[in-house]
Amino acid sequence: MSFASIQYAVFLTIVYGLYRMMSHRQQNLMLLAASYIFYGAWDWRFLGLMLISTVIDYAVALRLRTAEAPRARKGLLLVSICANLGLLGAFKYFNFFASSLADLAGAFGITLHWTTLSIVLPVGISFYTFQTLSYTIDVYRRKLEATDRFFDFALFVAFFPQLVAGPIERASHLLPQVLKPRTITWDQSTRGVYLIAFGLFKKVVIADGVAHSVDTIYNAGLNVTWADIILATYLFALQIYCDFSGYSDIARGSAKLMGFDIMVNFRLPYFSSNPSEFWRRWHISLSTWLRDYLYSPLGGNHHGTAKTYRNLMTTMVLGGLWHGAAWNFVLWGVFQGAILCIHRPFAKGRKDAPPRTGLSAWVMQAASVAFFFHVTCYGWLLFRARSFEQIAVYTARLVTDFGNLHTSIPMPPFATLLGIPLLVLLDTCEYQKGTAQFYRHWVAPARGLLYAALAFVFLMGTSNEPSQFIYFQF
Amino acid sequence: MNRHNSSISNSEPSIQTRLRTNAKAALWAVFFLFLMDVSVNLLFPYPGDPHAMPNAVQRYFEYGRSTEAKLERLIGPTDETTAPIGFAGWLNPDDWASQPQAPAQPDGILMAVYGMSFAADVGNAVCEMDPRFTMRFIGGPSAPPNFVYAAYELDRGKYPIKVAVLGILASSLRGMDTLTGITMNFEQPYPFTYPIYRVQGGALYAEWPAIRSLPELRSALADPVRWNTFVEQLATHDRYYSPLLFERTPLDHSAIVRMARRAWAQRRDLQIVESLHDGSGFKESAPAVPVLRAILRGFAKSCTAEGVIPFVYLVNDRGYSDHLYRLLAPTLDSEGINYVSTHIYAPSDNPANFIGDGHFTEAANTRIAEAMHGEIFAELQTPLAEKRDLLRE
Repeated sequence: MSFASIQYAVFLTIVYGLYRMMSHRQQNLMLLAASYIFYGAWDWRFLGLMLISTVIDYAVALRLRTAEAPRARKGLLLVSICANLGLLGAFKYFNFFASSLADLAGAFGITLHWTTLSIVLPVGISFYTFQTLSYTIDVYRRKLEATDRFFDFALFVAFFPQLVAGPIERASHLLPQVLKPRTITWDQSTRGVYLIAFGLFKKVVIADGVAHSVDTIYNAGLNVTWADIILATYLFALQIYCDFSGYSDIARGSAKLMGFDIMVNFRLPYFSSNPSEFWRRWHISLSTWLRDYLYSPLGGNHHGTAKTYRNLMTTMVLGGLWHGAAWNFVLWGVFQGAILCIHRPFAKGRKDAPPRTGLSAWVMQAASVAFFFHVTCYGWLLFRARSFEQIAVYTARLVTDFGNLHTSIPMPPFATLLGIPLLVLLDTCEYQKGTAQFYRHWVAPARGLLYAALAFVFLMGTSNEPSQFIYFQF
Repeated sequence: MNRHNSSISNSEPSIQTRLRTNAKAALWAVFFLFLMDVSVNLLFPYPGDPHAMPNAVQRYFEYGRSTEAKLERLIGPTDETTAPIGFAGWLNPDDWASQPQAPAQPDGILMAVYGMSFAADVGNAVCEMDPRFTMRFIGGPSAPPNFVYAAYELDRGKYPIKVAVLGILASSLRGMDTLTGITMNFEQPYPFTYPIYRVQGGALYAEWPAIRSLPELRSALADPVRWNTFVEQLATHDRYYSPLLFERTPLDHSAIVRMARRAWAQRRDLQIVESLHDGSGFKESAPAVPVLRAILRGFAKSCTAEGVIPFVYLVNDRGYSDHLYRLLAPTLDSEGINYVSTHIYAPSDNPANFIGDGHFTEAANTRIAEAMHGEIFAELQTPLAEKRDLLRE
């Protein structure tokens, strides 16, 4: 059940209606049932995997509550990690590693006959695996009290708004909201509705609108020009941002309607002027998860420069691999790790330099943002490409075919062409005001105009060809 | 029941003020939406003259108008008040008198091409390549295979045709359960009609539409009884017919309603296409597939009986890779029908093969035409007896 569908609108309306009539306990049970229905709508068999994860982590955490011996605690944690990553590995990475190993052996003249599993990747497995892992790790670290309320814990794992594509919630943030009665405020409700509307605008008008243009070029193999690659990659940058942040907005909005507060996952990432800032703005729930559960345990930046770089690279490569079982995601992770490493000494140097002010500061900031946007776009080229050969050819063509303005990329639909400047305008307002709720301070006619413009362009965009959310495949 | 935790909190200051502010903003939003609706109609009015070319924005906001309202604009009571598209594609042999009835050169080859613009383009390219060829073209915009076969059936046996070419367009297979381009192409309806074919006991049967020519359409539009008969036939037989999209209502005047209707039409179209085709190819289980194969067998049989070379042009347009080829090649091979599939000469995943409106570039058409010309010429050189032997083998 996609967020951008009539089915979801009906589903959410029914769930919300029931929710408003129920007590806290009833609400939680109903939300759990609704979440399983929501998830089972893709394929009910995938529910089994989620239930296994839920039961194991619930039991492990309860045992951790009473276990005192460090060895026993470590053993319990290992059970949780192995079970969760084992499921993830089997369903997401087995075929990738098996075929990669066979290819590697083939390069040395050894023929390996691996059996590949004919399995479908369960939707959202990467998201809920990380979410539930955060619970057992936090309990192990004694940062969080284990809960004995199984159904509440199950709801924390399966909560439908953020189940399939995040944000990856921390147990310390979401579980207390599940356990305690929630209050729905007027502000939450109106903000929730706005977030859902804005998320749909980003997904339907922009992400779906540019998808065909991007796909045409990236599926075209090697028969493209410099201008095709540049335009398709710019559009992909827009597509992936609007697709993913649109999903997060709808998730947050849906949760807000029921009094839940889900973490912000995007803070205007394309206004970043360096890679470090980018990862504080892009997919925040994943980057902070990787920081807290991978980068920091590896030693973070506390053991010298070389180890800091090693930890950065390890974290980003695994972060890349989290996105998908393919070598281009690994390469994208390497690229992200590399630019973080390259940027690190510059960031140190800049800290010591006197701050710029006035026009020169603005110009420098704008230039940095523009420059780093293009660095990010090159990363998206690695991310979107279908093969190493395509990456190599496209990269070469960016240089050898420089300035060739002949294009064969299809023009995005009219609604999308109107929607893009509207999005840029709204994101710029948010950046300047420093809050996503900037519009709340506008006078009623101005807010009315904003809502009307969003609604009108959204209606125009409803005839864009719908496409699946990109992050569902991760 | 704990109502407190799920109620709107009363603890917030000035909740009534917030309510009032939000209500005001909502009312302003409604006002601006109304203003935008009116502005679209005033700023981008669709030209009243059916011969005038609307611009892209005018067309955009017109797409969602009901089919009946669009038809009223397209089809006037006279030829002068009818849009050019109104004349295209009618399966009326009287309209085809202007098409060549013999080869231009005494020893030339009359090649009949039945299809759509893709087929006409490649036919023209063959004729430019080899002046011995003269093309007799009968087609309609985005014509589905049932139109193409009906055109062939109506035209065959009357002229000294040496080669008959059926153009099959991958994206038009969805039209095999339609009776007219009015329903199949909601956004830009093509008024021509054609039959739906069914296979019963291995034989093809045609369900012809109640309207078969432009004059008949004109008179039906002016005669509610006749029009209703046609609409009822569409409702019964045409898979694309939907009263929500077809019937004119006063809401046609609203740009917002038109946009919503267009979105609904697109979702509906997508569902129909997905029942026939997914990303990996056409579905063997789709009801249109056996009909299409029966059409090809019927085509081969009648051509062979009349000493005409049957030829099929498989157009795998954008989004269809080699899917049409994979669907039909086994049937074409087993029936001994020569064919050319575009996926070899102009792969649909290479955008350089296409112009902006989705047709092939001139260079792509030339490559396809060379292949087609080669195949046809080789077939013309093969003695009839040898061909029969080959078929027997």
